[in-house]
Parts: sequence; C-alpha cells; structure tokens
Amino acid sequence: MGEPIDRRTFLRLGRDLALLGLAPTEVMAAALAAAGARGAGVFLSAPRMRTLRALCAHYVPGPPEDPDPGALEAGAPEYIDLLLGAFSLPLPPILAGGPFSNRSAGGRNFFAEFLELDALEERIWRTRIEGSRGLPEREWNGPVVGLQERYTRGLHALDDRSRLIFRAPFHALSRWKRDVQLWTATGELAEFLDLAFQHTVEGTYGPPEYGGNRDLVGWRNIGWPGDIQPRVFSEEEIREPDADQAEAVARARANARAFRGTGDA
Amino acid sequence: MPERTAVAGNGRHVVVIGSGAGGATAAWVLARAGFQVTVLEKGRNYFRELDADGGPGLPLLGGDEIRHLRGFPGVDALAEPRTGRSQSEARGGVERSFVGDVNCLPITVGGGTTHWDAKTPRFFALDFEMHSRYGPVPGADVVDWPFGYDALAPYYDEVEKRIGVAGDLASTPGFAKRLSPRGRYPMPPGPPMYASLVAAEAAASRGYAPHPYPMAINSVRYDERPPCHNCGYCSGYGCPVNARAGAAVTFLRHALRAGARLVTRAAVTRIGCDARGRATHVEYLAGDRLTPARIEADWVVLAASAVESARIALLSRSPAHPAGLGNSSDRVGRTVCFHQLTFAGGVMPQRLHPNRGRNCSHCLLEPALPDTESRWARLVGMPYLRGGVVELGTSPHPIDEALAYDNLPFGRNRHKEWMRSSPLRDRMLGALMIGDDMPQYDNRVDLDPGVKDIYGVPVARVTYDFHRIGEVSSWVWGRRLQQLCRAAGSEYSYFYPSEIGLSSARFARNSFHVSGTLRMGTDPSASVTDEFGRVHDATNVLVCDGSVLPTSGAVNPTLTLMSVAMRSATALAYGADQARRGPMQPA
Repeated sequence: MGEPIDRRTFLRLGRDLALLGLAPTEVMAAALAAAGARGAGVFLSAPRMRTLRALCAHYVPGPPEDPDPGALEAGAPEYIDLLLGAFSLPLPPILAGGPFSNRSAGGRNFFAEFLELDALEERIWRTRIEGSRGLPEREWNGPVVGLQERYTRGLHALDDRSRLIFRAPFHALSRWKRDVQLWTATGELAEFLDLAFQHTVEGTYGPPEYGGNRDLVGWRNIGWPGDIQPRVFSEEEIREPDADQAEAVARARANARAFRGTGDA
Repeated sequence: MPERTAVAGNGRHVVVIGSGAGGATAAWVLARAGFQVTVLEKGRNYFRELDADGGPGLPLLGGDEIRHLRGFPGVDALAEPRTGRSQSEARGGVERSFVGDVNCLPITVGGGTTHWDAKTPRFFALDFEMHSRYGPVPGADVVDWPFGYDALAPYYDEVEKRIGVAGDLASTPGFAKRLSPRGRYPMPPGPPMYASLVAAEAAASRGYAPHPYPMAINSVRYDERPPCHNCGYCSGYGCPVNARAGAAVTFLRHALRAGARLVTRAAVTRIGCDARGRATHVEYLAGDRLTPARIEADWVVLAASAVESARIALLSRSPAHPAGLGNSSDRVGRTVCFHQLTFAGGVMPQRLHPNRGRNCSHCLLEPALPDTESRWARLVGMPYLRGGVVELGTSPHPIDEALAYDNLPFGRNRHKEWMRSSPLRDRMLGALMIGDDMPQYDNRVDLDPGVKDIYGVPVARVTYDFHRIGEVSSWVWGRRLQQLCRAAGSEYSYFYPSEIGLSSARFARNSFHVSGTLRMGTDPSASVTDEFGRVHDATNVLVCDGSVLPTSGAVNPTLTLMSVAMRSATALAYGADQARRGPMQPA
C-alpha cells in the first residue's frame, strides 16, 4: 500500500490548511503539492503514481504524442489519487456543491464547496474506497475490495507483467508494447483497466473542482463549455447552427438529397 | 398554514412513504384537505428552503458531470443494489444473474423528478382499454383500466396546471389531439433545439408529424419559479434554478406550506397491521445512524416507486397478510413493466450543440399507435405491434460520450480522435423511442433470498424478459428511425434495439420508467388495489405511484402517475363521488 508521506503529518497539514480558512479546493491543491514534491500522490506511492501517469497518458495522450493536452496535463492521475485519498482530507472531495460553479463569471464557486457526507454516506464511501476490511458494518453484502486495494494491486500487476514480458516497467515501454500489455490483459487486471479508463476520462473531462481537467484543458480540446452560468445561451444559439458549420450543413443537405434518390427512401 | 383550505381530513394522520412524483402529489391533496401529513423520505434533501415565501431556494444540484457517476443523488448500487435474472433463469432455479443497478430511481427528496427531463405527454384514450379494443395478447396480461381517459382528464388538467406544463396545441397533429383530447397548455413551449429541429425536418420529410414535446419546464415565470435559462444540464441533472418542475418544487413545496411534515433519512422497512389487516403504523430506520423507529398512522400512502413499493409490501408480512401486504392474490410485484428503449442515431457532418437548451424539444407519436396491420406482427403471431413516443434530439455529455467509445472496436485506442470529432455527442442526431412494455405475469419483483442492502433488508429481485411485441416493434421501428437519421443527411447511421439498450450496465433495461407491480383493478383476485389505489386487503393503505398503472402506456409515465395519485388522494379526502367528478377546487 502506498504511504507517500506520514499519514498523521498529512492529516494535520490538511486540518491546518482548513483552519487557515482555505477553500476545500485550495486544501486539495496544497495536499497534492505537498505529496507531489515527493513524486507521490495523496494516497499512491511514487512508483505507483508513475505507473498510473503512464496509464492515463496512454489512454488520453498529450504532447508530444498528440498536439493537444491529454490526461496528464488535465491532472487525471491526481484526480484518481484524490479519490483514493479522499478521507485523508478534512472534507472528502466526493460530492461537489451547487447550484453554480461561476467559472465563467468569477465569484463564489459553489461546486468547490464540497458537501459534507452524513454518517451513512461516509460508511458507504469508506467501504467503496477503503474496502470492508473485515468490519461487520461494512459487510452488509459480504466483503468488498476497495478502490485503494484495486489500484495498488492493479498498478503493481501491470508493472509485474510488463517486467515479465518486456523486462521493463510499464512506464518505460514504447506505445506498441503498452498496447500489447493492455490488449492482452485478462481477469482481475482487465477489470482494473476498465476502472482506470473510466476514472481517466472522468479526470480529463469532468468538472475541475474534483481535481482533474486542470485549466479546463479536457473541455477546451473538445469544445465543451461545461457549466457556464450565470451566462446563458441565447435563443439563436440554441436553435441555429453555429456560423462555422455552414459547409457541414450544406453537406448534410446534399446527403439528404442523395438519400431521397435511393430505393431506401 | 396559509395553503390549507379544507377540513375534510379532520386532523387524521397520514404517513406518506416517498416524496417523489406520486407521494408529493398525494401529500399536497391530503395536507390541503386538513389531514396531518408526514412524508417519510429515505434519501437526503438537496433542495433548500422548499417552503419559503416567494419561491423555493436554489438547490445543491447543478451542472456537475461527475455527481451522477458517483451515485448522487441517491442511486448507489453498492449501498442499495437490486438483483436481476431472466424468466428462464428463474425456471432453472438460478437465484440471480446480476447484482447492481436494475432500473434504480434516485432515492432523494423529489425522487425520480430530481433528474428527469420533465417530459409530460398524456396517455392515449386507447391506453385505458387496450384489452377491449385490441383483444388479448399471447404471453401477456393486458387489461383495461378500471376507469377511462375521460375520468382522468380533469386530473391531467389540474396536474399540468400545478406543475406548469409548456406545450403547443396549435402545432400538435390532429391524430394526437384525438388520442388524448385536451385544452390549451398552461404556457407556450420554450425555444426549440437545433438538433431536434434537424430531426423534426427529416421526420416531416418522411411523412411523420413531429411537434413540440410537452414538458414541465417553465418558458415563463410560473408559480414563483423562473423561466428556464437554457443551461443545457437537464436530463440526468438537477435543475440549478428550479425552472424545471419536479415533485419537490411543486407539490411537496405546497404540501409543506399547507402543514405537511417532511422527514428525510427515514428508510421504511415495514408497514405494521392489526389482526384485521388494517395498517396501524410504519416502521423505519431513522437518521444516518439507522435508529429503529415507528410512527402511528390512520392512513398509509405507499409511494416509494413501483419496485420499492412492491418490496415494502412484501416486507410487510403479518398474521393478516402472511404473504405480504395486499398479496392474497399473489399479485404483488407481478406484471412489472419497464419501458423499452430503442435508439437510432446518425453521425451528422455538422455540429449540433445538443448541450444547449432543453433536452429534445420535439417528439413523434406515430410509433406509439398500435399497428394491427403489421405483417411482422402476423409473422410472430401477435395481434399488433406497438413502439412508443420518440424523443428527437438527444444530448449526451462528454464523460458519457467518452465511455460510449469504449464499446467500439479499438475505441480506447483512438479515444482522443473520437472525442474531438464527437460522432456520439456533438454530431450525433438521435431518435430515442420509449416503447410500450407488455405486462407479463412472470415478470416479477420479489425479495432476493440472499442479497441485502446497507439497511440490512433483503433487496428487490427483478425477474424480467422482453415480450415479443416489444422486441419486434423495437427492430421494426429502430430501422425506420435509422432511415429518419439518414433522411436528415447523416454520414453514418445505426440503431440499438431494446435488447441492447443504452445502458452500459450489463443488465440493460434501465429506462427509469417502472410500473405495474401493484395494479389497480376491479377484481381483487387479479389486482392489488381498487380504482382509487386502495389496497383490496388493507383499505387504509393507498398506493400512489407507478405501481398501480395496469398497463405501461407508450409515452413517459410521470404525468399520468401524478394524475392517478391525485385522483386516489381526492377519493380518500373527499370521497369517491367527488373523485369521479374531478379534483376538489379551493373554496
């Protein structure tokens, strides 16, 4: 299991920052920075973090492989690590507040004010993240393997397998060798990769308040505005195609005419 | 209590189980009639100042793309799973083949209407008499409703007025007006979406009559809630400004203002009954520490949604109800219906920005008509085919899109290219059909013998097979809707029949439209409640959610279940004669 920095020191750090009146996202950033200085994450150790970074970058590549920022630039590995270490923060970044982020207007970001979990939700989320650990109150349906264990085991297994086949850890492999690794994974490792893929896209294309999608690089790349309130779309923006789509609209019309000329129409 | 206007209830205590569409509607009728009303809600409250003067406060919900992936609000399959299996697995003795999310609705104040996209078409007059009009269906238990469209019409009017439905009668095709006769809508529709307009134009070119989809989303300020400002976070999200109606900001708000009490984190485990079978109290686990509690009741309104209400009935065994509350007919949990989702899509050359505005501003109703002439129906030995309403437009968001590419061959490897060119979001023209589901005796909700939820209570097990009419209709209409996408000028087109569905879950039946587990009827041996939702075997228990719907209809069911709940609650408060005349108007 990854113990990047002394857990007690870290908890104290988190609480001190909270006492200083920092917003939860600032606490998150400070926590990540403190851990990142050691190359580690809030939860994951430095070697596991290195493997995770390579995996995220493989799924959503950035420069130089791809001209646009990818999962690494978006901070997807840190998003995942923050989820795994959520309960080491004074306010676990599990459920964002509402109703507005005010990202586009500036001002108070309500999303960044994470909602406090009640005792029932904390029990559910500790079970999901930490696993049931033999605690009867977490085993309403039998033992649960937590996300923390799935990640440490999964990342470890990925490296072990890479060393076995290619004599190098996953992060040191070329793209095609990593592809071979991922394509040929089976069983528990394949299930872990499904999980890591989902989390990678969440960390790349999700709201930045959760720790990923830094500077909105994930959204900029795909033209997604995200929550833009209090700005709103005008009626014209809703009902008309954007001006830069004129050529494509003409192509659609030509396609439609061609279709009407076929026997299918 | 400024909104209380009558004294029919005379202070008698009603416990309402569930604060969603049905429960909130009943709570409002009963609180206004002078009953003492306590609403027990299992989940948390993400609304604020629901009963405030001048309109509800802004909620703790908004355009957050991750929240729903984490099971908020209130759909957490780790804490509260369901199990599933097919009919043939059930016959073979398989206890379950799936554990997880089986059509789970949000467990939260407002229920499913916290995340709905508020489409509110009415059922057709023919839906109330499918058996007498079209005859029996092999393998299905199709019945007439105990009342007709005309009996429900005044309640439709009243619910539409209370929640605020936007629609346009002038552009509604004549056949649709004949199917569900009605007067003017309370407000005009909001701006149409570009994606819906493109699909509607293609539909019109193929001879259909697309028209504005009736929806409970404000186009003007209404009932102290603002008009929609088109943020685009609609279906699947909580409305950040309360412009979209839902149970919480409409009926529940006004029930609270009329004196009803809302208790959150109250997980009902049992309805207790006396020796004669009448309900006396409700047992629940209170608060986030699950402290056992009970509350006495003169009346109980069961409105936890179709699957959960059946589960609570089955958990409520007592000497008078040895097989579960109201289950002397062995009908509790049977004939569960899920609407069947068929999706056709086309990849357009242009970007459609489906994230702006309301989701799917237009619809088609032709596929919802029973087709007795279909050669496909004859081929499979069925009296007719029937699809359902088609939503034109669709608006997935990027994480859902990103996960969808994972299902394509090599999707994970070319992922970034897919995301940039966006064939499954920004350039996707979609037509989603919500098809009628034939009620089948062996499609059933019961208690899972081995799986429990975090409350320590056996979970609902769903035994479910598609019916041949739904399957074949899905293929036939899927193909036609794919042609519609081609007629719009798409570069590629495709369709998913209902067997595949839209869900990435392995148990691909998640339409969120659930009905039929505690059916209304006149024959106590073949139904669970009477025409006013009263349980035949326990006449002080009223069922007020989708459970009572005898057939699933072929359009979104929430407006109908709210109207039925209002009729049932009116009968409880003011008697059957008043309920047959229509809703009680304030003095």
